[in-house]
Amino acid sequence: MLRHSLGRIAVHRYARRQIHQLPTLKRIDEYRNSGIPGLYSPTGFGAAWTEYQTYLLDRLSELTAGTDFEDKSPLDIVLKTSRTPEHSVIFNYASLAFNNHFYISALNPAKEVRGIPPTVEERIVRSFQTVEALKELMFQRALGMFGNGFVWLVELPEKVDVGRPQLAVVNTYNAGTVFDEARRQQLDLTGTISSEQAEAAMDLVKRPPGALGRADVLPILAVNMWQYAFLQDYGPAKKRDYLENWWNSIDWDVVGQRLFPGPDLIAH
Amino acid sequence: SSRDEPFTEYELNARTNRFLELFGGMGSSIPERFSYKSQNTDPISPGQITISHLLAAGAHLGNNTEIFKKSMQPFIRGERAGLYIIDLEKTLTHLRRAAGVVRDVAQAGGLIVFVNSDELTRPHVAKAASLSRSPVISDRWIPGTLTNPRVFEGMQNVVKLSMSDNVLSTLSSTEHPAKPDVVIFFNTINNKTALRECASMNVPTIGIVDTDCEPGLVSYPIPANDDSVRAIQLIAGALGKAAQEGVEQRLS
Repeated sequence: MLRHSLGRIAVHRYARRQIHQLPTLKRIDEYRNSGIPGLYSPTGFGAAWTEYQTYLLDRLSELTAGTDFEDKSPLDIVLKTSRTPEHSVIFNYASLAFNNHFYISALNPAKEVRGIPPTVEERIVRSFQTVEALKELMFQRALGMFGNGFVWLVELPEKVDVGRPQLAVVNTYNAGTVFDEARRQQLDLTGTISSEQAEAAMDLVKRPPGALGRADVLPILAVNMWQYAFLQDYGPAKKRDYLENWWNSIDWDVVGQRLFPGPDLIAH
Repeated sequence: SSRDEPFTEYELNARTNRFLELFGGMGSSIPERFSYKSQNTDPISPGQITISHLLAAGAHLGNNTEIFKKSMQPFIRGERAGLYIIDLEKTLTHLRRAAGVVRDVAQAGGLIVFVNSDELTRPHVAKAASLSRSPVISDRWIPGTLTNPRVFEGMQNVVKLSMSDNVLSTLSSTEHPAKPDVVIFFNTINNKTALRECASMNVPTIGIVDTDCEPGLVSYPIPANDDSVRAIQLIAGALGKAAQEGVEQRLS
């Protein structure tokens, strides 16, 4: 596909009637014209978001048309199909659509990024000692990936010392999702696997989904390490630059909103 | 839960629900699609119902040709797949006429009673009746409700209202509760007792008549499919809306 024809294809796609439409980002027009300054050029942004997300949603609409999943949101579909092998194709597209949007919606042009709010920093420091440590950990996990996947900062349902849930870093290879342990796909299958790892993976599959079908591990922040996200602007060799630019483009207010504010702030 | 205790189930549920509410729609944007549930909160008024609405609700599907009542012949459009198809133009005109009756009765301060016949339609009929604060018989029409009226043990606060819905007085145990001014049925076959009582007490009736029903049993028949929940929801909503309009006009 020729990159210079991207604009024409994008317009054609919007004119089509599909159940799943491209979700609006808060500054989509700006991004389409000038990319996300500091992270993506216009063509890079088109490749990472517009083109790929449209493709995912078109395929998802095609696959779910006429079924019970027709008008369910991608996350709904993920939670319902994560354990059924016959729906694995639908799961893949839904999971990737959610993951990609989750990643993109926490980005801001680098110049406008404000510092980390104290509440967020406090939570990070409690689990990782310093923000730098978290950054390095996520970078290492991302650079160690051979193949496609996401690296996530997730919130666990356990408490650390002062009554707030703990944070952790998780890899999901290909279209894995953080919400279901058995489909997190966090085992790196491009390397050799020890028998303990294989057994642990089998155990995960055997365990039933969480009580009440509840998702206990909730994502806070993600970086997209699928090739389409960085290949256009950075090429295969400059992953570290991509990661650095991504870190400097994170909108920490959005991240703060995703954190659990705590039981005392829930209206009864 | 306190600091040292793990999260309770309630807290974990609240946490997940909050996340799903805020971020559960991420990934795509799905345009709003029509849902039948919205019909209950804001039904389509009789003036705005079209034949397309009736068709979509399946109001045109009559019963088997074998169990046909010949007096329904004027309302039949044709036959298809062993069923008689009801002429929706007639359905619409009769529905509008019935809605006019209901509206005028409500405006004149009359008592409208909705009678439900089936468990599936219970919430829809109840909701339609509640729009004009009309009573609804959800379970079973107790024989003698009109012909042998009594004050039952469970009856509370039977009051007389003025035209502007102010309480005038409460009824004593010897006084006869008001006779309804119109009774609306959604199935004539299962309500023969009630229909006969209404007829003997000169209470006008409105009812959905299917192709195996006798239209003469009700004062204002509405030829439509009485087996379809959506059709009953649509028609109940329309009549409820008409009653609501009448009440609003009376109170203003």
